[in-house]
Amino acid sequence: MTRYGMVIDLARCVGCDTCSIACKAEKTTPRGVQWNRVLKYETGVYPKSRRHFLPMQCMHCAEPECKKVCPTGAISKRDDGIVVIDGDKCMGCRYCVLACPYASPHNLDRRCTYYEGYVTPFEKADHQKHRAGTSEKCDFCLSRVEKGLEPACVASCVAKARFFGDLTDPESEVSLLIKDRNGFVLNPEMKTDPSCYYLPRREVK
Amino acid sequence: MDANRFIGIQKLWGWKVATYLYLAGMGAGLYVIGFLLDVLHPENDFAFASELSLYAGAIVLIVAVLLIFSHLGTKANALRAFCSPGSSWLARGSLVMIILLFLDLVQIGRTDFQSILGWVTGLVALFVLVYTGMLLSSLKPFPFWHTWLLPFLFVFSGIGSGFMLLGLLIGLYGVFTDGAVMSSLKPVVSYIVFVTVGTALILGLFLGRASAVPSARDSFYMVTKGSRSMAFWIGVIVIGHVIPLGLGIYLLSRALHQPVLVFLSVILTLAGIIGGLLLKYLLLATAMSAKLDVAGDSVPLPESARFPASHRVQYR
Repeated sequence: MTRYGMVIDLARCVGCDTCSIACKAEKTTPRGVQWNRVLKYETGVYPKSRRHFLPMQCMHCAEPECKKVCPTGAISKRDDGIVVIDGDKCMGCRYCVLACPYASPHNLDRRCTYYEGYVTPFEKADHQKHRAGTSEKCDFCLSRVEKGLEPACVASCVAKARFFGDLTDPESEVSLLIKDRNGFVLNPEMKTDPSCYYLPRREVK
Repeated sequence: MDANRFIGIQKLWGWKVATYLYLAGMGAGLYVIGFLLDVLHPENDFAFASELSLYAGAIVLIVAVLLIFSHLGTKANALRAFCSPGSSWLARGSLVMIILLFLDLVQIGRTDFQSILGWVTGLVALFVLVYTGMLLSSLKPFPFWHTWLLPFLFVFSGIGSGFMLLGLLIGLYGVFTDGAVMSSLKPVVSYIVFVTVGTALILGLFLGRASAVPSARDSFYMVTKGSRSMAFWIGVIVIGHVIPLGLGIYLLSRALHQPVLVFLSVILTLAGIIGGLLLKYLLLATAMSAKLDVAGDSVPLPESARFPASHRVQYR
């Protein structure tokens, strides 16, 4: 059975946020909501400090905490491993937002347009999909994946730092990268078995 | 101090959820109290207090249900809240709370605590008390909450708040009547003293554990030394514990005239109610997300991760 997953190469990521913008353009997310984002953080102390980039979105865990805590059954896991939220069933309790170790689901408390009293053509295009009072999150660009395309963040990455494929296929690019370059997941102690792996960044002496 | 220390404070569940948790605990606690008074004092000295706890419990539970309903983003889907009781504590709790409310209402008028229905309702009420704590302690990303001590704290605090309300109602009832029911006030105060000591001990253990677990330590500092310390020390400790304990011991050790007894018991119980409510609010307002573990690097999740920027945007 297929289990879609993603590999993000931290050695290649330049923190340009193209993935964040591509996600926003593809999904027409409302103002302030980013399903895909790049965290920036520093390690070390000057003059030996370094800035790092950590692209993040829903990890589509094999054991999703969000699905476990959802009281309405709005969150489900498809056979291909993609975790989706059904907005028709969500009651907006925000339990999933708190339960996710990666803070992936967003609760759309109220819909906030980009300009007061005016909805831009961009927002009009897909805005009915973002309902106030429900939670939403990355769905690995389901509509694209079903057409055989890669998620928008993968297709748009200028540094070719993102890879998408089937984790159950040992010969797939993602499986080989994880194996050859010691791919790791975030917070393994949470035991959620994420489908998003990271490849270690280069260490600078 | 680490600049990242207080990043990622939980803001999604605010005063509404805190008050809901408090009232749910109080409502369930009131039934447990009525049940215990009936079982422990079969000579019928507490028939009035037991009956009062049934009425008060039902009203408090109704307010709690309305409050959590108003918190929901999409109220039309509220009936779906019971869909996943197998895995979700929110689904389990919602379901059991509605059952408790129904059973509580059925019991009103019958006041037969020692029937099968009475015992079943008692178990359901105990489950609701545990649920209020499990709702938070089951959340792995919040190390401050993720401990079995929290359900214990909520059980004690729920029963304590139930006793506070019962004491308040008996005291107020005494103002307007000839005082025949006032005989049950002193024993209720003695239970308040006992439960307040128990709550304080578990709160101490809970905070002690938070100070010892590295990922929960920031929340501990925020509660005891940080921006919320004033509310904790004055609100929770002094108003919520020291005043009820001090006044309780004073009331129990002296033979007081009824007006003084009523006045002091009202002050005692009001202080306990305020302290208990503040405790729930502080527990919610000081929980911080566990940091991301990026191959050994500890990276704090920014506040905007769980709390989208759109919620804070003001049009200019």
